[in-house]
Amino acid sequence: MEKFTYKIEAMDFEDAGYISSKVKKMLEHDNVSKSIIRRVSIASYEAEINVVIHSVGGYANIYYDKDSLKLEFIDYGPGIESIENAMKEGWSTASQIDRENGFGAGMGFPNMKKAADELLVDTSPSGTKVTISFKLGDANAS
Amino acid sequence: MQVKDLLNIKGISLANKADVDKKIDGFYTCDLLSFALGHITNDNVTMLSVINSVNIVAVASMLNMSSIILTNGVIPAPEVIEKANLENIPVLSSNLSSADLLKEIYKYEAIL
Repeated sequence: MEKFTYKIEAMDFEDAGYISSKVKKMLEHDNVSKSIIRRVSIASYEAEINVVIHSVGGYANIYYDKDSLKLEFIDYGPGIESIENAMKEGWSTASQIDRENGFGAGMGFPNMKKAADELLVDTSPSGTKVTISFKLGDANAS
Repeated sequence: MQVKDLLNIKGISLANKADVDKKIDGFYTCDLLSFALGHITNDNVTMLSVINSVNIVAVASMLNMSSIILTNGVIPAPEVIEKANLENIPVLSSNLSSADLLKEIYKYEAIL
């Protein structure tokens, strides 16, 4: 299994999406099915943006082999006050600047949950770890 | 319909250098990116929006969109153009609102 690690800067809207784009290109290169790539792209972009918008910064670990893909988005705080609320469509704590950048729909975690095969969220004031897993079993389907 | 067909519609202009031969398989109008991520289910969609941020280009790339149209007279920011050039995504602009522009697009599509 290959492992890649990328740093994520807080409030760096310019580079937000860099990791998701890397992952998408990697899967496209390996001919993973389009429907899986679409789900991975949605979930990874939402998770990456969450670190940019809501945290003080962090990093992502990507674990990849032909059967599975696991994305860990880890930040250094301040944590999610209510996971229950974060999972609800429309609930958002995004700021005015975030909204001007097109965020704040309150769809981040709902989109991740829908797209992923498995979503785990572990949060405390010192940081949050979002783990998103995908099965790539039917990698040759289109 | 292809992206270049949109350039025949009055008031739409192209703001960057990208492949305008891309085909368009649908339109989506939205000003919240997570709604786009959650609801656009196919490739080659053209999105109408007022979000003048590099993030709209990132989402367009994630979802394999054919182009982005910034509406309501929003002029694409230099960083949006730069990123769209890198991702080869045409960025167009119009003074019309998203709703009014879609009416014009559908009228034009009907005579194609």
